Parts: sequence; structure tokens; C-alpha cells
Amino acid sequence: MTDLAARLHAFLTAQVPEATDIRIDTLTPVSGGNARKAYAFDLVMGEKDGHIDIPCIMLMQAGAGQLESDLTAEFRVLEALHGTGVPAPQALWIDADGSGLGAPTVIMERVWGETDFLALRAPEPAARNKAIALAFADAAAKLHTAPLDKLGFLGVTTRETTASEQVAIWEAQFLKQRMEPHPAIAFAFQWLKTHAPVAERISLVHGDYRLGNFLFEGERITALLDWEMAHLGDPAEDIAWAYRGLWTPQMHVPIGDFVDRYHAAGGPAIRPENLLFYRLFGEIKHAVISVTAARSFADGRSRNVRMADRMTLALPCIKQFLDWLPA
Amino acid sequence: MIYPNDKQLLGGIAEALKETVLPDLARGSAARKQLQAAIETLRRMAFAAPERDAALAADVADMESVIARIEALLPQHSPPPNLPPQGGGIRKGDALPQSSKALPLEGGGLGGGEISERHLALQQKLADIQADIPPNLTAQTTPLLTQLYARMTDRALALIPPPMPRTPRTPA
Repeated sequence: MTDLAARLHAFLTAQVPEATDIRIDTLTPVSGGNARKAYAFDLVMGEKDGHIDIPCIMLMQAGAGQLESDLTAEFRVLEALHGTGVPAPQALWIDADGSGLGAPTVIMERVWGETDFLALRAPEPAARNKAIALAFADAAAKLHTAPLDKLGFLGVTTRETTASEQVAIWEAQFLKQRMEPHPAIAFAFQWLKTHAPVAERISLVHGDYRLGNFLFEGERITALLDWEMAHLGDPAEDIAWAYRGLWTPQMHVPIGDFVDRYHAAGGPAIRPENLLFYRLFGEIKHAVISVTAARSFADGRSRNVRMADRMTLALPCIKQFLDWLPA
Repeated sequence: MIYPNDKQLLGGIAEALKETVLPDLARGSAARKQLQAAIETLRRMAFAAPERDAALAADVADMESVIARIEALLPQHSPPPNLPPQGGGIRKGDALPQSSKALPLEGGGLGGGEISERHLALQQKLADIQADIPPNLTAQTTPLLTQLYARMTDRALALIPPPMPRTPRTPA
């Protein structure tokens, strides 16, 4: 930790040359997901008006995991969202190639709140959990109407092609990572390719929009987290993902009520057929995430035992896809 | 040597780790989470061990039957092997040459090697066949495939035990 604190001090000194008396206080490891190490710290530094204290979170890439993530894109998304009203932490500094801190790293504002998705799925406190689920619909509406002018680095997509593009991205991931043919998943991709819908509009899509990926305080969402799968696409994708069985808030707010609230908060129209398509797509996307996680362990790129048997989580996804498939 | 069999060995190790090592690890610690995941995996393998080969054999028979029914529906002049299928899909021959070499199922693991190899070969054949089905036949073949995959998924899910009960938290 001392070595990391020293490297962090040197990095921040270079990033903020006008500051004096830079100090890193209480550098502490915190939970950061499967492929990242996370640390909380307070940056204390002198400025012309005195000392300021900036609570920070540092995310460092740490080996293979469920997905290969691009911290630079995530950082730029957060930069673009600053000031838009979307609840997201402010991006502060990035060490894109890891030359300063030993691994690719982003540093962002530390936002207060908790993430406990099991608490949000619990029957009680029902009123609080319902309020948070509705606030989650409000946040989705804000996200999906956020301006896209600073997000050109995410590439270009169209209403007509975005669904096919997402299917192609995840099929390529499947073909790269699978350890056996998995004809059921291959079949699912064939179906998705031939049923890709036209989006109502193109929005910034979070890509992992779910309970557990935001901070909340009381009945308020303070920040949406984990932007590594953010892309331009159909907003229906996020709504569908939010209601996957593993983390759905359905017991507090049925999906129809969620969509109603989303529209009332200014969210764009969501076509039922698009929602169904993305619910099917989400099951297969999650199956592919599991395939990828299992492969990273089998190949020895990850030594996270939680990845070892992740293929067992792909089975319910395939089952759900088949159950929902229109006749 | 037959005994201890896989169920006894893997299940026993899982229980032993749960009883003797897990309590020594702090709640919420990374080490505890890793050990819990290892115990869950051992439990899953122990639970599956006695039934795994039978489930794979049932899959094999099921896949052979469905493949035969689909082949009977296909036109006589199907595309020659190893040509890209019409309209995209997974191409013949591009499926996991590296993976299958990197992770061979050479009789290791819990199941018999032969049944695993046959299972893999039939999976590949299904992937190839379904990628080549002409659009005018999909109304007939899709129910065959989806029902097959549902049965196979159910068999695999039946080999996963219910989650391990968590030790209730006690006040410090």
C-alpha cells in the first residue's frame, strides 16, 4: 500500500502541478468488482485559496474477468455526462496505459451511498425499495435523453442497425470465448439476428443498468456506476436488462409501472416488441458474460475462483431465452 | 480403485473446508469469498458426479434423434461441407479449433471421455446443421431445436444442487 500511495502521490503531483502540499489520506481497498481493484482515498492539497479535500475512488484494472473493459471509454463517458443531470461520479484523472500507477486506472469523485442490491430486492422496507426502483426509472429517463454531442468516440450507429450491431458484438465475443459449440446459444444468435428491431431513438445506453450498479442514500440514487459497457443504442436495452431475473425490482415495481414512470419522467417511447427483443438478447448476453468468465479461469488468465464455475449461470439464461421465445 | 468415489471425495472436501477453514476467515474478506466459491464448485461437482454420464448419454441420444429428424427434412442437394451458410450464422469449421485443442476432454474429469467426445461432436453437428436450414423449413425445425435445447438445459440444471445455506450472522 505504501508503494501504491507513493506512486499515487507522484501521479497526482504531475496531474495537478499548480497544487501544493499534496497529501493522500486513508488509502483503503474497497470492493471493486471482478476485474478491478478499487481504493478509496482523500486527496488533500493546497491551492491559492487554502486547502481542499477531494474524496476519491480509484479503479485499477486487475487481470482478466468477465469482460475486457476499456477504462478510457468509461472515463470519457463520465466526462461527457458531467453537468447533464445524469447521476454519475465526476471523472477526475486517468492513467490510461498504467505507466504512472502500475495498471490502467481511473480516479473519480467518491459519491456517498450504498450499492446493496440484495437489500433493494428484500420485501422490506417496501416503501423505500419501491421509491428507489422508481428513482431508477427517473435516472434511466435522464440517461436516455442525455445529449450525445460529446459521445462521438463511442462510434456511429443508427436506429435501423443498432440491434444487429449489438448482436454481432456479443456473437463475436461468444465465438472467441466458448469452450464448446453450445448450439443452443448459437441458435439464439441466429434468432436474434433475424429479429433485430428498429430503435425508437438512439441514446446513451449504460449497458449494465441494474440494481447493484448504483449508489443510493435514503430514497435517492446518488450515482450510476460501472459504465464499462456503455454504448450508443436502443434505450429499451437498459430497461430490459434492469428487469433480468437475477436483479429485477419487479417485486416492488412491475415492469409496466417502471416504463410508465420512465415515460412520465421524459424517457423516450419504448416499443413492446423492442423490450421483448432486448429481454431475449439480455439473457444471451449474460450467458456470454458467463462463458467469458469461465474461459478466463480455465485459461489461467483469472485466478478468481468465483469465475471457475460461472458456466452454471449460463444455463438459466438459456432456459429463460427458450421460455420467452415467441412461438 | 473405486472408492472413495467422486461424490464422496469432492463432497467430503467441500464439507471439511466449510467446517474447518471457512469459520477462520473474516466475513466479507476476499479470502472467504474465494473459499466459498471453491466449496460451492466442489459441492456442485459432487452432486453431479453420479448422474453426469447418464445425463450426457441422454443428451447424446436426444441430439442424434433430432439431427436425424432435421436431416430428413432437408433437401437432397444441401450445400457441400465447409461452405459458409446462407445469411450468416456460425460457419462450419470456424467453431473453436483453439478451444477444443486447448481444453481436451481426454477422459479426465468426472465423466467418461467417450461420451464427452460424442457430446461435443453432436453439439458441433447441430450448430452446423441449424446454420444451414433453409428459411422455408424453419417453421418445422425451430420447435425441434428449441424443445431439444430446453430438454438439454433441464438435464444440466438438474445437476446443480440448491444453494448452500448460509451461516446466520451472530451478533459480535
